[in-house]
Amino acid sequence: MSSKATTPMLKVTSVLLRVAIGAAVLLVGTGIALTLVATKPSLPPRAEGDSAALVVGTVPATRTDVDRVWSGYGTARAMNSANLAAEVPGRIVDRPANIEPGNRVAAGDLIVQIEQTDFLARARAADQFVAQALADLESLKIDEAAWQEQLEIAEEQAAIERRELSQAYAALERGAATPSEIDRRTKALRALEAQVSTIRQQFQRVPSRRATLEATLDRARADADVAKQNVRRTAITAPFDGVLESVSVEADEFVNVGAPIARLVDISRIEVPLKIPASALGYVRVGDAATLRPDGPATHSWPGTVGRISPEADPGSRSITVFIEVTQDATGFQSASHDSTTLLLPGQFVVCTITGAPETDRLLVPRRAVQDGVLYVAVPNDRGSWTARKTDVRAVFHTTGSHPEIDAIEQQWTVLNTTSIPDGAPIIVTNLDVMIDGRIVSIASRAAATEPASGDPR
Amino acid sequence: MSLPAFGVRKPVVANLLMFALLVGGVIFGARIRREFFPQSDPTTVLIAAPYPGAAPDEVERALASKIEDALRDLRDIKEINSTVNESAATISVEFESGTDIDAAVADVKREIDALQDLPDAAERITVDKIEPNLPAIILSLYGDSDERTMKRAIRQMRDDLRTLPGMGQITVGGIRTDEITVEVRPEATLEHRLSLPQIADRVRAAMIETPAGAVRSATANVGIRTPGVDETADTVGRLVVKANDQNIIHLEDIADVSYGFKDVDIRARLNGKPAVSLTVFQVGEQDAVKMAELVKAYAAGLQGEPAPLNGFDRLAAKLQPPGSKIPKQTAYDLGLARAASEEMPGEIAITTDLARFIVGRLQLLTRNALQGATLVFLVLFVFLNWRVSFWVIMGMVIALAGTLVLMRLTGITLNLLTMFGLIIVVGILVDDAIVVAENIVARHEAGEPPDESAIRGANQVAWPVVGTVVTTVLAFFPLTLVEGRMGDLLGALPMVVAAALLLSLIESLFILPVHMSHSLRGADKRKSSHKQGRFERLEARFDVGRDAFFNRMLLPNYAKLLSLAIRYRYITVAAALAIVIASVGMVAGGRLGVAFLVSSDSETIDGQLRLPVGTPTSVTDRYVRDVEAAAMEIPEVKSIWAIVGGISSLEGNGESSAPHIAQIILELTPVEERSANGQRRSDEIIVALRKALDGKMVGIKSFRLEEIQGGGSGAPISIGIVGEDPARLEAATSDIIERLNAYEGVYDIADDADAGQMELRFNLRDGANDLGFTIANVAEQVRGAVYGLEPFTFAGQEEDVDIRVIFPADFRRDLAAIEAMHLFTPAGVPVPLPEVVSVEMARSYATVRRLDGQRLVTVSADNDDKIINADEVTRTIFGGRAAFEAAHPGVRLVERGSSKDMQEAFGSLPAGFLIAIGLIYITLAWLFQSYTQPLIVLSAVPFAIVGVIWGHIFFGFRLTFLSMIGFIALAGIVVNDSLIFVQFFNKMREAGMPTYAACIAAGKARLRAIMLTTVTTVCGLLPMLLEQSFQARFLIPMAITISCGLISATALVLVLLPSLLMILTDAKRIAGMLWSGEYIEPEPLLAPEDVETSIDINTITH
Repeated sequence: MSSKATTPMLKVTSVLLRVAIGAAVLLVGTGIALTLVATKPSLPPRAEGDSAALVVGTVPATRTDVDRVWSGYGTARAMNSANLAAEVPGRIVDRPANIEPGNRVAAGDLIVQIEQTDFLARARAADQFVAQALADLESLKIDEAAWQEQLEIAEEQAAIERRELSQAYAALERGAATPSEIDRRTKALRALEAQVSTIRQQFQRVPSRRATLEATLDRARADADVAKQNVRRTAITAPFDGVLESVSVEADEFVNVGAPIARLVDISRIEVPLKIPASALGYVRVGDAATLRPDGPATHSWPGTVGRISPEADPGSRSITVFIEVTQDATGFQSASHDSTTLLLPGQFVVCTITGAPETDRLLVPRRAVQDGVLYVAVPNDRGSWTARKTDVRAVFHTTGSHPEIDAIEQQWTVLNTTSIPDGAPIIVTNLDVMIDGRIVSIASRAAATEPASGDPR
Repeated sequence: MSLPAFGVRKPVVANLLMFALLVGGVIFGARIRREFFPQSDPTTVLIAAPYPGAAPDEVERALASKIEDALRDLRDIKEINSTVNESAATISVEFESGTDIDAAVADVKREIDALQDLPDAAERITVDKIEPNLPAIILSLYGDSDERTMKRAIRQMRDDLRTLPGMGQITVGGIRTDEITVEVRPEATLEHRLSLPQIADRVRAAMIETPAGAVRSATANVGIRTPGVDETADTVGRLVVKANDQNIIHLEDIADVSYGFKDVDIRARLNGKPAVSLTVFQVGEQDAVKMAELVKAYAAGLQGEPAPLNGFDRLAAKLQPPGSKIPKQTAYDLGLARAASEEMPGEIAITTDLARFIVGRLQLLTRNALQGATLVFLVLFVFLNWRVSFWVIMGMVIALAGTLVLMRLTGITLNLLTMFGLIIVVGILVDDAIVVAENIVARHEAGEPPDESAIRGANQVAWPVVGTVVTTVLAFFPLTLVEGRMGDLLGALPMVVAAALLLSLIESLFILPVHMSHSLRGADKRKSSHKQGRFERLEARFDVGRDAFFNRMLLPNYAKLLSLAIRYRYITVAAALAIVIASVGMVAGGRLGVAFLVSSDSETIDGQLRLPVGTPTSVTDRYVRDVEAAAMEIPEVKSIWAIVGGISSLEGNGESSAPHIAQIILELTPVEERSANGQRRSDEIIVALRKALDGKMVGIKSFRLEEIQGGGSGAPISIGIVGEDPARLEAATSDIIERLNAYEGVYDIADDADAGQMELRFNLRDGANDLGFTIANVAEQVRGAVYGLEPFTFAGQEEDVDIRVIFPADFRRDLAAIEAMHLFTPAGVPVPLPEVVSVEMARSYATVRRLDGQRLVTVSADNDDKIINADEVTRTIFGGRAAFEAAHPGVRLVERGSSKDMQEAFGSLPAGFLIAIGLIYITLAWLFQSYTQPLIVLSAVPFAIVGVIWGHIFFGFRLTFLSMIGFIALAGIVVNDSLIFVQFFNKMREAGMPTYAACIAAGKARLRAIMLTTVTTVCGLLPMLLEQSFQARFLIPMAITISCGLISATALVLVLLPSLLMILTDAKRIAGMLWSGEYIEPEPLLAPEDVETSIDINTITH
């Protein structure tokens, strides 16, 4: 009875035990799984410090004086030049052998000689006219002196006669004389007075006659001068030291007045009217240095200075004209030892750069460092590393050139007038496409990236 | 008449079929095309939309967006990717797999033709499909000869190679196109008041050759033509560009005219010396291995080396008709002739030999397959008698030969995946043959004559065998549903498996019975003659010993274990479940990592260097020289190929060129050689190279080093950020970069938003119009100065030669000079550029990328696999997607690169798995005629995961996509064991045996068959499992999954399945009690021997 009564109980117990064991096994399995999930290893974090930082290249912030340069173009011209022309007509009787275009001539050197014969004859005739005029004047001087003497005598005689007439009247009154005496005496006086008047008239004409004679003399002299000048004009000479650009006449050629004979230029002083952007007005000043170079592969350049500046811009080309003066030693021109390519010659087309007054104490940074008016400077942070700091800047201008003390290879630069960036501060020049304000960065030497690698690139 | 009966009665047919398959297998197998990965059908349409002179923003707004909008409604579009550059947009439209690409191209063309409001300046839009082409081999010529000599020589080589049969598409690299360059002095344009466009017009007018019709006289037609000047630099230089009363200006007076090369700034070097190269691409159905052999033979001839002919080649050469040569000999002779005719201007090198890679990998897999087959044979020999073993192995060989025939006929190539499929089925192929052969032998031993036993034995197991084959084929079916690139790769694998299994089925039911009956007749004859040789005696003794071990040791112990498990079935099931849960916990708890694929050793490392956009070639070159110098110090590096200014895809996905990019391809010594010499693997070499370059790559955007495996590539970590607002995109990109930067082992984080390009923006000033300036004529003049104008193009030697009118290089590379240049008014007056335009230096997007109509930025990164798993990083980032997108409104994260491939591939797995399980269930239900028993059989599948997980842990592998694929395939193999068990169990039950006894009886009866099935499958895969070479490393997880999963599933089938069957009986009894309300006695736990049944269990095999 008891065994029957306990059998279901045992069975239930057995079932419960098995369920419990089964559940326990399941729980163990589930527990292991849950523990594994709970202790799941997370992704390894990067170690603190600069290993997480973006490695960037930098250049030191550098303040310096920077020249501002303008460029333009123009055609050179000589400041001294002469177009020699015939001043007298005539046949060319002489053209010295060295009178050829390109040759140097000194001041006074004969260029061509026009026949003189006619002009010499005319000069001699003119001289004779002068001498005749001078003689007439001398004759008038003698006449004047004679007439002066005659007048004085006649006036003295008339005075005597007048006294004698008075005396005659007194005598008449006293009767000491006769009326006829008076009449005779009166008649004599009248005759003397007429003589005085005639002589005086002669004398009064002397100034006008002198003026006439002097004018005649002057004219004669002028004619003589012209004749002599024309004689001189037959010899066409170099007015200054220079180079013959052209010679237009040949010997035996007849030339009229005004016919071009030759062109002479002085190449020691050259001027270039240079067209530069109108916006340069205000920056370029008289006295600024300029460098000119020719069209084509530049083998030589010439220094010059701004001599004057046109007061108004050309609206058609939006340019202003500045005149660059170049002084050069042209003495050896055309000599065997002289390299003519080193001379700036009139008519030569040149491009020119004008270096204005330098911008002082400006920050010079590689141009690529400034993007959209923003520059990133690496500043030390409290973690002992660096943080990229965004700085708004305004470019004053851009320039080209080499500044190895800042960056060995950079050629393009931006000039900034900011004062907020201290000297020597590292300015970030790489990875700017991913740069944001506050990004942790690590500064690497730029040497690896900038030093030219060995090898021979094709 | 059944198939076995037909075979046995008509043995000639069966034998002829066998011979046909064997001979066909040899012939077709030798001629089957070999490749690395199977080629996928094109699914992408490429649209090229040129818009000359337009900025990227303008191209995006006026062209790309409109085209995208027009295409959006097309059917089957998967993704629209746009890349917008200056002057052009490239839009690639990816269609769903299986889309008729030609019809898709037509649809796209139609939609684009219908577009109305495209800008007038936009040029004709072209639409074409993208057909992948893979570089098979690269022949390089390198040395210090001048560029023109090298160019001529490499072109001659190309022409030689083109004459060879079967040669692929050949491209010449490292050479520049000829060009007549007219470098006009900027000062001269001012002096003579001639703008560049005017000069270009003069050149065009002088060069153009104009036909003027024909004079039709009574007797003949005479053409009239005004020929242009000769196309030489001298004649071009003498062209008059300006003439007036005073003087005549010739082009050479104002410009340097020279015949040279296009100023494209590309430099190529091999081992530090200038190089040119020929890349041979495999296109379509071409055989990469054959074309590589031809190139190597040609190169051997060039270098005067002996002809690289192997034994087969010599045999083939002897079989050639007189006067004809084999292609390899022809190639060699061509090389010899070329070398004899002229001196080579440099050294010859062969690089990126994909063929060597393919052959090496296929040889490795072939070796594994042969070793597996040998193991299977040995196992069969041990477990069965040698006759059965022989014919079973023959069955496997016939099935494999037949598979090769089918592969050749259906165009399936021999590649890494199909080869792996064959390895997988090696162990499975024998299963049906074992079952059939064993049953025939059992019946014969029970007293049936050979023919009868062959026919009846085969017929008896026909349907179960069909069932196992069908379930296995069905299990591989989901591979055809995998999407994306992985789907393309895996597509051929189930076809190969199905073909092999079906042929095996035919063999086992048609050919095998013939041979078994023949074999049994022979045995009977020998037995009747009472002639027993030494071998027969040895065999009999071995059989006795084996059976004794099995029957006296294995079976009793297994029966005890089984009895215990069934008695405590609930605890057994709970323990099994606990093991499954704990095992899954290993994955969920991160102790077993999950990755998309396992990388293997490589012989090529592809380094892609990107500097910020706008970096000049000279600077890029300095970095490349640093890399070259560091690589030269690495002993495993055989050659270094460097391209400065360009990157070409080693996967054949196009190329790009820009001054800020470069490519360094390192060719390593062969894997086998490195393994033998204890040298480093490719991933270790990458780490060493990175260390050597530490601190030298300051300022770069990215330097990605990737092992080329001959298949897919891309950064291991690739995250796409999509949105409309550029500012938000930029912020989100920075955020992602910061997040990635937080992890140790994540390197080379970079984004593809080429936002760093500095550009000079010229905006027309207000008063500029007064002078006659317009945006167009300003742009033309500036373009002429910087890029040049091309007034005329003529046909040169094998290429079009441009005449380019441009300013000198020192001018066009000087920003300040460009800013100070003069522009000419229409009246010819030069005006300083700053007076015409305001110049602004700004940052811009050089390239805009778009995805489905929105802007896309992709952040990519590399990882050190020993420190961090790239897929886990990606998963972690995407795990925080919701918070990220909330923090960056208007921006969303999308998978790109390998993570996109993974998402596509994994995404399609659950549906595929369910479909496979459903189909297997239907098959089993049909076989068992039961709704519940298939569930019991299928319940073994989840338990297989235990072996899968611990197998990966044991062998040190992560779970990969192929592990998942293997698991699905495993479902089909696992149910075979269950099926064999349950079917016997059912027979016992039908015979009146209680469940417990039936389970014990089934277990004891089927232990050998189940173990044999498992052992053969595992042995087939064992060589691959133990393969130490890294070459096929990525396939090993699948082998682990199948073999280890099968082992654990077998153990569970043998112990757990009977417990589940008992639980099912319990459940039925309880249900019956609940339904009837009456107590039903539980079945007695009687041993099978104690049960009286209608059949003798010892006579039942199936």
